[in-house]
Amino acid sequence: MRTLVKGARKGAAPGGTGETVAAAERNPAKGSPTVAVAPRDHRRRGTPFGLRTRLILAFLLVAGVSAVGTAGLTYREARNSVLQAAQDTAVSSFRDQIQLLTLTLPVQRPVLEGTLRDIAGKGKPRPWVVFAEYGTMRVSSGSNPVSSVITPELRRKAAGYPHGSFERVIKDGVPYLTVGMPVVFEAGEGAVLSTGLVLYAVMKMTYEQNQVEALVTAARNGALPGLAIALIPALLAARSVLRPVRELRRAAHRMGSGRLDTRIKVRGGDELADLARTFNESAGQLERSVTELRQAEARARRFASDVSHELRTPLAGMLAVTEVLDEDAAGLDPDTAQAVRLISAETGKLAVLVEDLMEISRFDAQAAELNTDEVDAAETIRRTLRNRNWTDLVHTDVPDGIRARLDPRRFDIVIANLVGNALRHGGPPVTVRLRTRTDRDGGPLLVTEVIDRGPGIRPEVLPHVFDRFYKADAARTRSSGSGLGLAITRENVRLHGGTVRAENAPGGRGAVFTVEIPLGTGEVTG
Amino acid sequence: MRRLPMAMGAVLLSGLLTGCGIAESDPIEAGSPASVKVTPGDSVLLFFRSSSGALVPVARPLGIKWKSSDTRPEAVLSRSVHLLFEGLVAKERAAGLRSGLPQLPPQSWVGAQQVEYGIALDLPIPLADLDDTAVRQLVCTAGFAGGSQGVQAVHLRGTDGTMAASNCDADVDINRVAPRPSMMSHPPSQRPVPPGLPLDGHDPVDPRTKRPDGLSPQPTLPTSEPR
Repeated sequence: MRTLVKGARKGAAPGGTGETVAAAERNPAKGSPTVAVAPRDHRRRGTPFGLRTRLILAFLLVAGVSAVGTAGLTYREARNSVLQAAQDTAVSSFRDQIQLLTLTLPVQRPVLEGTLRDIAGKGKPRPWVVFAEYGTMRVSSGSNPVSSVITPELRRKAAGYPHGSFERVIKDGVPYLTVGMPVVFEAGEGAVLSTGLVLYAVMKMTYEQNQVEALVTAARNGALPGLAIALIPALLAARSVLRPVRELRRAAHRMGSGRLDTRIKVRGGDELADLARTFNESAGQLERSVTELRQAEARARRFASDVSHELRTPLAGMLAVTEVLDEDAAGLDPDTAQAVRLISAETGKLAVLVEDLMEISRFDAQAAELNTDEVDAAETIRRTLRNRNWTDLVHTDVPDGIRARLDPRRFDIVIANLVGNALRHGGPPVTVRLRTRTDRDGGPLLVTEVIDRGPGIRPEVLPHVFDRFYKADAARTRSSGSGLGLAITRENVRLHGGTVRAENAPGGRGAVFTVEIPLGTGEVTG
Repeated sequence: MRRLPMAMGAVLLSGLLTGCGIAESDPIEAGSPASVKVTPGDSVLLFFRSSSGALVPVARPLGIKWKSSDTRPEAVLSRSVHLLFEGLVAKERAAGLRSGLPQLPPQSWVGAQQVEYGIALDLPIPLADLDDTAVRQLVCTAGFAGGSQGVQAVHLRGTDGTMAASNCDADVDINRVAPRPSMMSHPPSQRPVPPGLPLDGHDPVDPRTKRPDGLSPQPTLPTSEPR
């Protein structure tokens, strides 16, 4: 294992904290597209009416209510006065016409017919048809002796009590004014007696209806421009509210994409200005906390990096000494020889651990570099196995001729770590399979699978296998690995712009580690 | 929040829709009735009833037959009552008028007197034969014939008793049939003096033997129109 990671050791940057912070700031920016999409989606789903629409609707509603209300009230008054004028004129002129008459009692039909013709010619304000009812006598100035428009209610009213009365009737859509006028006479001084004669006038109100319809048209023509004019202040008000809101949204969006120094210009003293002020304060606090957190994180990383570096120099010396001791162990007494060999082995492991820590530190500091080259993937894998003397232990299913842009050193670490892990924790036979496929966007992918026939990975462990120092078996605290192998593998694959995942084989036996790296993309850099 | 504007819109719309155009109305009272002149001026009013049951006045000229006679109120009163009992003439019948009064027995006579408290009518028939309209016909005809525009109290006395005094209220509501005046005491043998008749000791005139206006009874009554 030690030899596997040796190549990654050079170029370690012990400092690089400034770079760390800068990289951390850049990092969220990668997620910005999703941040930008999410709120827009939410807005579309949440409120079908935007603020602008609602403001304009409210304005229009107010304008509509007042315009329609005013127009309606004016119209009603005007209509009533039109009707009243017609009714009053009709009733009083009808009465005046009748009062010019001189009757004999009982009323005689020929006399009555003449009288009615006379009155019918003098209709005011509009021509009318006059009907008379006396005893069983029914006479009219028209063709029918009895009107179909006069209602029984009006008859009762006119006959029952000595008062003139009128009623508006609509028959077949035509409005009529019917006037009932009982005829009385003076019997002696002051005594008024009914003659028993009741005269009715029936007058079409078509002219009045036209007048009323003209009023409706006038009211509508007055109200509609009012509504149109109300649109202008509505739009202005909507704009004055929406501009700060839009600014606020833009600022929040910028904050979300990592620009924590975003501030809004506070204008005026209204609620929106308060909101802007609050936003600025919150943004300031957020920026402070995030800066503190980043500094703490950077300190921690630098500490780990520094510690590994500081450990490397003494370890190198110790390794040289233990190698010498190892060679001489054969000459020592068995107990001492065993102790010496143990020290030598543990020192070697410590060196591997320190190397791995430094590698991880470099990834954390975004200082890892990708040096890609176009290589034959199968050849690279075979070389890795050959270098580790694993050729006999591992089945390969690696077709030749797959060219890929890879960092050969990092790809070697990936394959070595996965195969080593399979040999250590899985069961034989271990198979490495190489193939290509097309991802969702149509780009070709290099797919490398490392398959073992061991017991597989427990489901609760699966999500954590790539975590640092994660031990699948809590009891096995001492393992030959550093506990960082799979974590380093994942970082290396990421550096290639690819993914690595662990799953259990469909058959139920064994684990499958799958690495997918874009074939042609060697441009991804740290 | 969104329900309020919708409700307001609905109210406005319904208000507009119902308020448009010309609407029907109930019968509305509008001022006094039409007042006409009735000719001839020197006529008496008789009250008959129309097909609807209302009291309808007709004007009868003080007939030619009576022209030579005096026009004292008592004479006019007596003639009016007799004309009423004689019934309708052709043109009145043509107008659909009817009379509710029964035929008087032959050779009988209605006594009509102007008394201090009103008018007294002495009928040769039982009052029970008269229906409500007939009573009103009599009261109004007598009331108006007696002058003072029909406001005088009229006392009816029949062969079966006396009726409480009543006024013609035709000018108030011609269609409303006033409640029939209640009957007073009435043993036919000893007919009491009708209330309102002077109780100064002299005997009331027997209507069957003597006409109150001093004329002798006439065997034939005018049935046709005087003119």
